[in-house]
Amino acid sequence: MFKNMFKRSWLSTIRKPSRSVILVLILFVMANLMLATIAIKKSVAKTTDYAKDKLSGTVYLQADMSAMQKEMQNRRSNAPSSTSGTAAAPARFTMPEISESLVLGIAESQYVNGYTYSVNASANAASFTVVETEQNQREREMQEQIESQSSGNAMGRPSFQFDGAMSRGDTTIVGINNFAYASGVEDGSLTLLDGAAFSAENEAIISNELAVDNELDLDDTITIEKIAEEESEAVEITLKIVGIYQATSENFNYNTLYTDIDTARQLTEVEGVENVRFYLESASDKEAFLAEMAAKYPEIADNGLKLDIDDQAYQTMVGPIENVGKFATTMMWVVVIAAVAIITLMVVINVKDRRYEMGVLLSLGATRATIVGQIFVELAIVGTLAFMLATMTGNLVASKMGDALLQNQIAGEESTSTEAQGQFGGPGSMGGGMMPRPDQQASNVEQIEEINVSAGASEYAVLFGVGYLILLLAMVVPSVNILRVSPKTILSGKE
Amino acid sequence: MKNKLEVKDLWHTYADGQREVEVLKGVTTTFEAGKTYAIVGESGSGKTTLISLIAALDSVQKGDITFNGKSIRKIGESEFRLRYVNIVFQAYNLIRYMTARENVEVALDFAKYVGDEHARAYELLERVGVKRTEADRLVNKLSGGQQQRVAIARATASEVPIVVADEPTGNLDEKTEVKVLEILKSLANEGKIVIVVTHSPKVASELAATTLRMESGKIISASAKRAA
Repeated sequence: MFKNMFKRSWLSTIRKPSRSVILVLILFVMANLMLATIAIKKSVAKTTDYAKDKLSGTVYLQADMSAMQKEMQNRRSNAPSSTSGTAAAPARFTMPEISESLVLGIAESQYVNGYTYSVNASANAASFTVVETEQNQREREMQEQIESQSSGNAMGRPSFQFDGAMSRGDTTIVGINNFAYASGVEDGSLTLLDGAAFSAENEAIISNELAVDNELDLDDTITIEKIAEEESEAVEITLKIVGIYQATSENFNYNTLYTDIDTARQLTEVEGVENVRFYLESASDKEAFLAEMAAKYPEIADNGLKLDIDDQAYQTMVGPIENVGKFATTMMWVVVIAAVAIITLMVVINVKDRRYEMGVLLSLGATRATIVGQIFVELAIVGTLAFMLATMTGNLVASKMGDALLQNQIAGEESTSTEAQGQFGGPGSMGGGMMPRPDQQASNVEQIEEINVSAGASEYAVLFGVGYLILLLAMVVPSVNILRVSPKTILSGKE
Repeated sequence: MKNKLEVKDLWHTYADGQREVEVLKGVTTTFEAGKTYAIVGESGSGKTTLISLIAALDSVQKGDITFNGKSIRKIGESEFRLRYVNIVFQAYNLIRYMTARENVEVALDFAKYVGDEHARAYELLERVGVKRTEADRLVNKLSGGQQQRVAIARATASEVPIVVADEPTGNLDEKTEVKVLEILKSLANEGKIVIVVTHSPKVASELAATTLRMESGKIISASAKRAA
């Protein structure tokens, strides 16, 4: 019976070449798209896993920005609209503070191999002249903008302000617990040219540019002035130069001095610490470490903080790729639904055209099930051919499609990013005029701009599985028609 | 024991829009192996419905059809078509994308023929006058007479005890008609029950040992041909 069914299916397929070729072509196109989306999804998963693995070795303690964004949106939507024509006072946000004791407590974990945190401050040069850079100029312009906004022009005020958006001096002070962990040191974009890391209070490492411009050398001293609102609070601090560094990254602020934590503390009123990173013994320890800390320090989440891999860095690395993955998923469903609909339609038409043949087969003793089986086998024959052909071309389609989608996403993100810079004044700024600091890790993470999309045995297996499933689904409606076939009605010519 | 097909008080209706039409009204008759039967009557007399029920192309509504005492309901329609009856249609009803040989082989497959299907198909086709060269042609390339021969060859492919033919010579020329009737008679001589529906009194008289005349859903007469 089955041999008969397969034989009829085969004969029907080869003796009706135009119908078979059309079906093969349609299934071939769909199989290519399907294989491409399957391969892209696999590649995206692989790349995101890689990114997670790469970032998992470093865990950040930082403000939960997504929670803050939600809060901002809530406040904005709940803010009463002004009826008097004056602008509503901007909602104020306080960045959650990270206490040094919390950092030191977490650092005691068995999973932590090293850790870093910093206190960032700003000061004015008193005994030296700062290096003129584009960034200096931009910061000055920004400063002037902030001052003009705070001079009482209510209409010009930003909708939101962050506490901590303060006046900035011409020199950036990064107080860090260990210079070896300063951003840029690890990837080699910041190297110690001369001297050594600070080991005591009021010692500093300065840039080579600053040293050259001011003819400074090791063991020389420089004086900086704390920024204070009242002149009487002004304090001058003298720092001994213990090291000279060379920074090679683009837009680096050469007026950055590295000191120990206590020195930086003298220059700021902020009590918390920033840029807290824990280096784990192994990336695989991440989950255990986070679980331990969640149990030990539940206040982390309560205080609007988050202990995790750096989301920003993760998004920077794989944001566009994740979007490509989402697009591929949507596309896969569209292809599957379209394939089921188109194949169903074709089979329904085919079955209608072949009712006479079905009547004959029924009169010869065929069961309706074997007739449904015959139609499915015919589909499976052309499907198998189309899927096999797709395995030869799918890799190329997947690769081209993956690249095109990714480049599209990257271009889209770049244009969004440019718009955001236009609105907020520069990369990494946060609306209150805050500029990126040289110790911010995310800037060191490179966006992944290529994905290796390729299909292998497992993708081919999925293609064949999903493909046959589509063909089965496409048989549902025609099967109902076949089950209703009456041989007498057909063969007596009453249809 | 000779095979016997019995039709017992067979009633059949079909819906014509809102109206129910009674096409068979208590038909009772018996068909015996080795004999040819002709069912004649005007259009709408119920003869096609009767052979559709005998061929299990339609379901028995009221009454019964039995083969050697076993009801068609018990045997099952699909099984009955497969093992007990073959049908020859006026419109040949061949599968158009197959050759003559392949059409016969389909029936051999259904009959679970053990042996060389190709050879058997050629043999059956040659018996009805279809040559090898014609056997390997697609059926839609053959003439009407050749197609009807192929249909008869297919009907003889399985060793079923009943052959039903609906106007088997309706589309054929006189010479081919004679040949087809001879084939059908030879099937009866092999011990099959051969039932033919025809409008033609000539076909009925030449072919059938017994002629059943139908009118308004009933068999109004049954006349047996006297042996010459």
